[in-house]
Amino acid sequence: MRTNLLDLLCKKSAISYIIFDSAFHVIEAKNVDLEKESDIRDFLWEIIGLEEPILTLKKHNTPIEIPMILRENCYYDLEIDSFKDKHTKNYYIAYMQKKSKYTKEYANVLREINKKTLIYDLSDEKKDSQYFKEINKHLITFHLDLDGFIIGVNDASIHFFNLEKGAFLNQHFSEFFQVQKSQNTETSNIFLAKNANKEDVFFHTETIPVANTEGKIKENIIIAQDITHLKKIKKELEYAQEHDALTGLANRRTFLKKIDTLTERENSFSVSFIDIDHFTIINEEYGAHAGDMLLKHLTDLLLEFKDPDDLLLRLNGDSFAIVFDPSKKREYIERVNKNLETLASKNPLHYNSEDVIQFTYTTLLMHFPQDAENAQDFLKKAQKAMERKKIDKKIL
Amino acid sequence: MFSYKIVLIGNFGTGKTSLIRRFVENSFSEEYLSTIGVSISKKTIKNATVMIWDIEGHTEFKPIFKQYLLGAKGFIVVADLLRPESIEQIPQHIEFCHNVVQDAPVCIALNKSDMPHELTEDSLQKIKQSSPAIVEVLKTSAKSGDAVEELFLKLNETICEQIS
Repeated sequence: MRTNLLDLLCKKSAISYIIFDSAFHVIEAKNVDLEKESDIRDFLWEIIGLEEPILTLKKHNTPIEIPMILRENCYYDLEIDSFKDKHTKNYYIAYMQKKSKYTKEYANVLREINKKTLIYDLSDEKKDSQYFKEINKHLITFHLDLDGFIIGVNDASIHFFNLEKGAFLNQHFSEFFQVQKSQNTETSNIFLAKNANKEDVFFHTETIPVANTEGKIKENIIIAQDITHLKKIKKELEYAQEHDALTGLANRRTFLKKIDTLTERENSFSVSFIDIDHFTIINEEYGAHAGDMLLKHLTDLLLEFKDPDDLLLRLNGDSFAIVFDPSKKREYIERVNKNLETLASKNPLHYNSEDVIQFTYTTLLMHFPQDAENAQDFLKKAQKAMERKKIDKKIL
Repeated sequence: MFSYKIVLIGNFGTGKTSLIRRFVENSFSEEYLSTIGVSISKKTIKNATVMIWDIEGHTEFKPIFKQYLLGAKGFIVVADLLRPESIEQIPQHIEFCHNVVQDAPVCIALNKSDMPHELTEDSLQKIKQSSPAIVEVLKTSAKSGDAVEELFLKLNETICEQIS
């Protein structure tokens, strides 16, 4: 009677079971065609690799459950547990319950969902959506009342300032953002804010007024976009435009700006022009690299030589200039210029272990307003005077 | 002859089933039929029988069932070269595997290499260095068969060395 009931239950619930010992030999099987003493793993591959967890089952007292195994086009759940017989010997039982036809239908529905999701994942629509998500992650949004007090913030704000949402509410917008520059419109501004690491970050902000159904403005939404990288690029470009890449000195463009400013503001000032002699020959004899090294070497010498408040510039290839601070007296400048003339002869370039490059340069001291009236005038007259000096020195 | 278990893990739709089918049956189908639950294949490599567990891929709504990983001697984490998020999730998958089987060797399959993709050599190196358990990172194609055998053989070699 008991056996019949078990048979009935197993059939009704689509259950098969295998009882096996610690050597994985089959002791008894129900609804599975297995010989006694055969290795259960020859039939039930699923337990290969699980030997150790199975043998320690009695310690953990939790059966091993592996759901939804697909075998021969059917799904079944596997559960493995241990028990003791009346002689307290350990045995193990593997139950396999075949899933109903609805499980297969459910699996097919999941497959359809996954298929559609995969198509969407690879579509342009998904790429666009990710693109906008990426933008939104960096767009800080504040909701302000009409007096500028914060009534709402988005996740990007919380992340950027590393504060709880409550720390923003009812605070004035200016607690977090300092205005840098008002643009042409009242709704567009540049703000500076400190992030969670206390670093300065520039934001371009747009203010969007939100009206109620009667058309009355009830709040403002401020959308802030991090433009620090743009500021940095702009700064780098400005620097590159005004400096020489090889020596790092201010260039001809800066010279023109500086002289224009000085001629407008000062009654007098002086400029010393320095032109390396035979620079082309040095380049040809030792190569362009040696030429570059010579320019860098002279830059170092002049930077060390000049006063910190005087400005050293590289005007072009082999021409440098020192714009003396207007407060300097002429006698002092003339003495400095005299010392300048001997600087090169005392400091040749040690290009490598074999080559020591001796070099000279020609200097020319000019004064405003006697020698030139403006920046272009300075450059034009300096060039002519320099040529004359070089002819006299028999360099040209 | 000995037997051991390996598991292929990764996001859904990365080609785990296709890689197994290519390795075990040397076949490929363009039709996408996602695995629900788990199906187990058997393949003999030299003197070892490898039980290859093809488990349901990770989706946003359905995590991977931990029990499937129990008793594995090694893992193949599969990502799709056309879906960056599947590559970004490789470290999470490795961590998940190691929560169940500590320090088990892992091979990474960056699948669908037959399609134009944007993964640089630099990114590939970064993936390689992301865990000491990674024994190989390969760009595979279940469609063309590129590097598929190499992938399974490399993991088998590592596991056999560890067992012996």
